[in-house]
Amino acid sequence: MSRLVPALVLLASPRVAQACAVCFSATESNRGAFIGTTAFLTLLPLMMIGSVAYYVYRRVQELEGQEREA
Amino acid sequence: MGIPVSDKRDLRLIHPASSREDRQIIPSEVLGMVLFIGTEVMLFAGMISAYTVVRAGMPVDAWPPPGQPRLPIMLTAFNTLLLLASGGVMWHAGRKYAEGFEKSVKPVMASLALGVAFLLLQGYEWANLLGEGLTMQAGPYGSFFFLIVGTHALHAIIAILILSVATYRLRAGELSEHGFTALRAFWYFVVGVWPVLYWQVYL
Repeated sequence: MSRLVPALVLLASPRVAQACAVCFSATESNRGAFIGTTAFLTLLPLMMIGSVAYYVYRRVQELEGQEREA
Repeated sequence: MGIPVSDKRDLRLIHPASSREDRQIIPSEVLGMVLFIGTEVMLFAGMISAYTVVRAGMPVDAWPPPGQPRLPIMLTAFNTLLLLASGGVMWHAGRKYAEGFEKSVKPVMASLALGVAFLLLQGYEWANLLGEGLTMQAGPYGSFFFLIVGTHALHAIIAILILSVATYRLRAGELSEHGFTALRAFWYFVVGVWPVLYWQVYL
């Protein structure tokens, strides 16, 4: 009962109970923008961290090569 | 109780800086700046993403909103060239540093002058837009424009102030190579992020 009442209230007022605070437009371009920017914001930090990790790996290889030659 | 200086020297002899444990993969100044720039990239990425979503939610003929001033595309394209030139001159300064720190002073100052010219032209552009009625309160168009472009301008101002102090230290021979590299990296970020903002906001 304690769960049923809020559920019924939400069902009765779908305009108030929006699932997403920024879902103000239901157009196809808006949907594409959401997907695109989500992918962008997810991949960007991974790419940056990956780039730094790759640079460190290359630098270690380079230094070890120098140590072997010395 | 610290280790006596003579003993410290002895420790260095046992563990020279070139040993596997002590070698520096990335200088601390450069690593710190890379991490900072990473957070800055995410800041601008967040703003651009919010702008993209809001713009995509508008009807095609409602962006830019009718009745609101249009952004000066050609003037800002010229301004973009000024900033890119500034980045190019800064890159040249980095190369000159290898020949002697004093040889990089003039290119750094030229780069700063181009950066200041960029800011002045942007200030002129803002004054015109404000005069035509485009403000932060005018709607999402004005809000996003001033937020995104303003954040970049703030970064450019801070970078120019820091680089001005750095130039003074560079002339005195007090700026380390790694410190100079880190500061140049920040300027490259300010220069590099602008064409993306121009493409997203102006075009």
